Amino acid sequence: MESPDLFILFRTTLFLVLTVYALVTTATAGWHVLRLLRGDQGHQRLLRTYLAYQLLSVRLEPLRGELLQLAFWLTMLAVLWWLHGVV
Amino acid sequence: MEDRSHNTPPQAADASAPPTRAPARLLDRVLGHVRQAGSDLVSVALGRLRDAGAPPPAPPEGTPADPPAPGKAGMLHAVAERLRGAADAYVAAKLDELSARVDEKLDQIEARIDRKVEELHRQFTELRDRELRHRLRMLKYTLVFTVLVGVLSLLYKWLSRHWIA
Repeated sequence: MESPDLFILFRTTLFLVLTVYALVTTATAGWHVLRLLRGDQGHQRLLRTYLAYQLLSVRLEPLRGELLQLAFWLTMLAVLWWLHGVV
Repeated sequence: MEDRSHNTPPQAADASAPPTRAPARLLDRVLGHVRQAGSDLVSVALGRLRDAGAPPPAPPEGTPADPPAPGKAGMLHAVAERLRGAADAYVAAKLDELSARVDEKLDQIEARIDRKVEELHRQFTELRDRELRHRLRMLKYTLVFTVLVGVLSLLYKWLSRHWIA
């Protein structure tokens, strides 16, 4: 029986841990936001309306640099994923 | 008095008869006035004591209590009307002035509230942009780390495929 590849084991473990961490963090934050916003009281309706206005009024021009860098690194990740298949 | 008249000599008595009677009569008249005044004072005091518990005498019928003269009443009425008009005008002017001041104060408060709301909105927008930029930067760092691990993984795979094997 072959000994397991330690790097593959490290990579798989890291992927699983980070995926679980991201899922738990996103679910917790979403649950907190939902608990804060749900309800029929006046201030909660006003908060929902104001947050919707804030979301719709986000201007992407001040964030253009960050968004371009994100697009670059996402492209690099996609290329690496493709290269893993090729190599 | 009679003793004093008896002791006087006859010549002197004859000569001074009228002067001695006049002071006596004057003294009698003064004493009579004093007695009359005392009796009047006593009767008045007794009458007041007697009438203290009795009701005050009613005014005679057929005559009003304070009959105003027609000219005087008209003048008083005119003065009262003029005073009332002046008071009404003063109160109306003061109310208008107060209303104007209240409106001005409300406008100032409304303007301050509008400025405060606008400032809060601007601060919240800046905070939102800053937070969004911070989150995007964290996401970028995560992506850079992921790409680095991917490059290491690709290198390891390439080395293990072509050199180690």
